[in-house]
Amino acid sequence: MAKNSNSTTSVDKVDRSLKYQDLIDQENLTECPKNCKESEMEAYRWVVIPIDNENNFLPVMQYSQKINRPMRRLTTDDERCAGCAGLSMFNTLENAKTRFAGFERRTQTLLGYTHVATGKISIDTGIISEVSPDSGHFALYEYKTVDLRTTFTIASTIF
Amino acid sequence: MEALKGHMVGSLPIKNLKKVSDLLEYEGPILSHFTGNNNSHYLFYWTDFDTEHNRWLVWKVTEYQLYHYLRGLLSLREMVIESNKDYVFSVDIDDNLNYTNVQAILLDEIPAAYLPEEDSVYKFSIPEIYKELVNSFEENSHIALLRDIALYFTMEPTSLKHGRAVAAIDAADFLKKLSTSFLNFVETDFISRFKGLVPDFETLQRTAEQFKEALTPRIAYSAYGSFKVGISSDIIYPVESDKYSAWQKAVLSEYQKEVVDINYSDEEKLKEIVEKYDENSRRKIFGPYLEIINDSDYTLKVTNIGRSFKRSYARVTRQKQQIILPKRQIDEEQTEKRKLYSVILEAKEGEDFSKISKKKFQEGLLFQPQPIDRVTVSLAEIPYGIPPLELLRSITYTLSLVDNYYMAEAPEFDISVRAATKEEVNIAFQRRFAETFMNIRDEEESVLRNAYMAVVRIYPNAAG
Repeated sequence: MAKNSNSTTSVDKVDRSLKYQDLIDQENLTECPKNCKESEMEAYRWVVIPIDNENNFLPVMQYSQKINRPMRRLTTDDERCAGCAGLSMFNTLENAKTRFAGFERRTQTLLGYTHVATGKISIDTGIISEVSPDSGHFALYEYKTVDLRTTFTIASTIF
Repeated sequence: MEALKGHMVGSLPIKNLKKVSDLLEYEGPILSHFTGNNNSHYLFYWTDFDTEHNRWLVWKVTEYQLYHYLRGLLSLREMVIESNKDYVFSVDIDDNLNYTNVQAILLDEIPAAYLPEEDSVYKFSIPEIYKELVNSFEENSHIALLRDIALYFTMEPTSLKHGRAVAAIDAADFLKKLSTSFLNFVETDFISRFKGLVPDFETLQRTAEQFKEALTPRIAYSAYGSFKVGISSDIIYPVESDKYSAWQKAVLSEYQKEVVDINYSDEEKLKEIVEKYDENSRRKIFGPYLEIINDSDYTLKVTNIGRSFKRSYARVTRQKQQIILPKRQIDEEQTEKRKLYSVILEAKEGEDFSKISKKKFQEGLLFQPQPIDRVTVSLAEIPYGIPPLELLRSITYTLSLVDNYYMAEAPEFDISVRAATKEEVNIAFQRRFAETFMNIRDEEESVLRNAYMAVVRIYPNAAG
């Protein structure tokens, strides 16, 4: 089973195994995540306040279980890798707000997000998928000891 | 979850469902496109959830509807309630993709909370997987461009006696008035912007006519139910030369700004229009548009593609209308309508036409007189001013007959006057010319001042 992570090195003492590798293995996902790399950038994520709400930085599978709500799936192929191990992010505040604004009000209410948080992603945070050139969206796969609730802050309301 | 008033069915009656793509998604699908048996197309739209299920509305769509949705021409709401079907399905799906509580729901019994909003148009980039579909419906890129820049007018009947269908004759009348308003705006705006740059008025007018032909409104889109039409204008093909291309590209937007996107109940806004446009222009541009707005049989809404611009209208009161279109002093109902005609007459050389008899006139008429919009009048002298002006050469103005009033216009001199008879308008024109010259000759150099100074003899001791 392929593990797409770098093992702990004695040089930098950062554990570079993925936080949710166990779930990836449990779901029998090979090549998960694919085509990802470390990066340095500002990132933006839809959240609720307060920022340290324990559900703000969970992959959707864990989030759904935590709040006792079913995952949105229509096929067995629906994004399982990001669903169990990735965090949705945007590369700019504008992209984060634009994407939310593009949804129906009903959809916005059902999703429940109220704010956009921002934080710096570094090579010690995790690995990211390719950033969508249209929407600025990407997925972040955190390293094991990372806790984004301590490094992200509220940037704006989501509206 | 909302209570449903549907009819239970055992299972979703669609075989061989296969997902094409998510049209809207965030950490899971929100609006998804599927195909079913016989290559039919369906949309799944997320509307609700509880602790165990997500609820989806499911309905059949055509590729044509998908194309219009992706291009922002059709909203999600319109796709749900479009009357090409009697019902939609609702289905609750759990984590293990088990379908339960499948119901067929009549369109008017869909819970209000589940219906997408009026402006639920697609706001994102068209996904790569749909490029071929979109291209197949865009006959050529020219149509696509016309649709992108079009204004979309929706007429809805105020009475539902005939459902939402609009009478064909009313639709034709609407298109004619809209075209008239727009083309008059094109002419007025062009002359206003370029009169200082094109000294020859004949050339200016000829170019304006060419633009009216090139920019004749085109129907870029039509839909039925209510009458919805996308009106666009050809902004690509240059007229005369490239020097007008920036104006040509912007003229439809200008019409939107100056005529369409106006609150006609706002008195301040109406006064701005009066400041900017002379009465004749207002009658030609705003008159037909106000007739459309005030048609008691219909309401009008206007949007652009993607619906980032929206305008609807309340009826404009008579008092507000008269700010833009003042009540005429002569009751036109009781006055016969007059028009200008061009006449070709055979007569003796040197004939004095002011004294020609009726018999000679009728016998000499070679062809049926042709109606004309305007005629050029030449003036060799302006016997007004202190001292009376002396012209270096003849000047011309355009004489037209509009709604039984004579108009004399010379844009290069910034003159437009109106009177009840041709004699009065001639005098009015000459007086305005003299008056403007007396005021402008001492001012700083400008295109307008230069136009006057080029035709009026200046005496050595005169200012300027």
